[in-house]
Amino acid sequence: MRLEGESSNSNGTSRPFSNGSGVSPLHKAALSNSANGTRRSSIAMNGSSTTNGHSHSGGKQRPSYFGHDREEVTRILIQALTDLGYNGAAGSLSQESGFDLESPTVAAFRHAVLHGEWTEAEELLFGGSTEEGGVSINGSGLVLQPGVDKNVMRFWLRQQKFLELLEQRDTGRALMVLRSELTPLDQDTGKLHFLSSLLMSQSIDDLKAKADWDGAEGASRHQLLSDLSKCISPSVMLPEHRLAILLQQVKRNQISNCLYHNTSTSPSLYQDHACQPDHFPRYPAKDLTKHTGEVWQVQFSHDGKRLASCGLDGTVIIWDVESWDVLQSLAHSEGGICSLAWSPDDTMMVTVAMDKDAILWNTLTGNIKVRLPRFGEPVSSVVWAPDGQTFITGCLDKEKNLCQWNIRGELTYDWGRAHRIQDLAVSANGHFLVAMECETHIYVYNFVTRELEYELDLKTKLASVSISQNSKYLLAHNVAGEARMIDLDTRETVRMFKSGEKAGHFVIKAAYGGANESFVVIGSEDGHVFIWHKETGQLIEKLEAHKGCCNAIAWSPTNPSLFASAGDDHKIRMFALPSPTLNPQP
Amino acid sequence: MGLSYNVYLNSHKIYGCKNCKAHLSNHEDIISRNFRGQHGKAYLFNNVVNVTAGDASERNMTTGRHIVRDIACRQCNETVGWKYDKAFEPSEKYKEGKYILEAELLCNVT
Repeated sequence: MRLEGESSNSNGTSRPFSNGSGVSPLHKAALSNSANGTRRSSIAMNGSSTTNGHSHSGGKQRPSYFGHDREEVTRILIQALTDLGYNGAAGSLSQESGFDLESPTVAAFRHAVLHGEWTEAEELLFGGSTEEGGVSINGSGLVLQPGVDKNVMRFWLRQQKFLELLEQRDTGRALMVLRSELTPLDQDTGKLHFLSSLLMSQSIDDLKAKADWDGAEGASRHQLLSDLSKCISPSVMLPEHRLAILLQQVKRNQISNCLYHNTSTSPSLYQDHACQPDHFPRYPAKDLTKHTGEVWQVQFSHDGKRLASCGLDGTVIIWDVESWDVLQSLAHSEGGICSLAWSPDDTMMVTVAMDKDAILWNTLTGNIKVRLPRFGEPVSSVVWAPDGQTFITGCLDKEKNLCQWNIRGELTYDWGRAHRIQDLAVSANGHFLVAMECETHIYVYNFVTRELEYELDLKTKLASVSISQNSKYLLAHNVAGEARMIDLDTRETVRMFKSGEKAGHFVIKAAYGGANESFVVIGSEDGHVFIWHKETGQLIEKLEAHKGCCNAIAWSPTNPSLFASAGDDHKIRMFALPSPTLNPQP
Repeated sequence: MGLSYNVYLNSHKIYGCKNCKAHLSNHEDIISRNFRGQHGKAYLFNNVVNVTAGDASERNMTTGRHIVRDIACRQCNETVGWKYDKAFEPSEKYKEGKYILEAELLCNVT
């Protein structure tokens, strides 16, 4: 029925298209149909009237696709169909619409590069003269992106030619290419020297290894085509996988606007994505009350099956996440345990305490593996290296404040500076070691070379630091309840998160949380949990958690709907999704 | 109440709690050495860290009526001196808001 309606429209109003007024009736007809993807073909499908009009379509004014240029949309669709492998559909779409994905010149250029016909490729690219012309079949070259250096493109083409000749062991011709074609381009002489050194390579494999090039049969020609196509104007030669790129941008945009987004699955394209608050863990599901003192730190094991907590009463309790049974209770000291860290494989844990001790435990048996030699001041923090072979302790003393130990308890490195370290963080990729001093400074070390990369003075008394899993952002939290997110590479402050609470005195640990680490979670001195959306900086939730300070929060690494908060009221509160069977604790 | 660490001072001569060595004040912060406490010599300091203050009480001292509160080391809870909240004689007003640490209860921390 829809088709009949369309045909009456096109028969009755086909002429007004070119008058420009016909746009709206067709538009309205289109709008009245639910978008089903076949609307465009249905217009063309109505028999001979429009297919005969095809040859005139270049001159005829066709309506835009909901405000988007018809040619752009069609060519992108042709490219997407070809990418998906539906070549027949791509061909018939190209025929019906009259648009070609690529002009014959571009197609010929693509063919030339992929088959190694270098002279032809160069001619097609640049044309007979040195001016840039439009697309045409008499060889004036392809339209390039503005600001592109043609010599760089020539260099790439001729470099590929040179490497392929070397691969064929035709060193004579390769040398000629080097002399007469590569050198006059006046490019980087270092590169030229490198290429001439390749002439000396003993074998083809040696050549490939040195030049990081995988041969004419490999992906190098496609890579070259890819690189060149980035320099050609995108309207002439579409950037690869354009539709996929556009869809990814849409998804990213929707996700970054979705405040409660807490899953790592990709959203469906069928609808606009928006997570409901009900799928966010905001209900207190259980309180764990075995501690007899303030609880200062909680951490999930990396496999998400166990939870460890420590605090003023000097014991570490390891809980099973499913049943909430106490698996282990490790008695460390009387002074209070400042922090703990699970090894990357969860078999070991290091605890550090106010009584200046640090102990390495076996988490499965609960026995002490190694007790480190006593420090001079409280040991405030500990982190494991990503490879699980060493861990770093941070101490408030003037000596031995930043030390690396191996799992046998031997000191492997002491950074030897006089800064008193209050918190540590290591990036997951093993590049950065961030040491936060007890006042206002943050020292960023290169974890591999152990050199100081830079130091930042944040001018406010700091409480904790934490690094995101993608190793890009540092979250630095001060005692006044403000956190800032700093890009580790550029050292710029990307975002600030303010809770508006008054300045305090206590060390409260801030962390990232959620699937994809899309939230920033910080406890406050009056017992609330503040959750911000990381990308937009918006405060999503302020949950009541404890009487007294909420000292630390840990989000389960495997279950995005579970997190734990540790408080001064000796309790650990687990937050989860609302469930009809669970009675929320008051 | 929550996790908090001691404040650490940075100077060449630091006075600390004799009992637990917690930092209390810098030598540069001494205003006067002409004081006497229950244990003998005492010094008036501009600023003192790592102490907790007790309740205010009115005392008659050799220099007149004052409102003072005792201060103790936050780490080991030993009394180390007192703090002047208010002085009633105008000539003693300079002491308001300053701290007295008794020399007998201090040690040098380098």
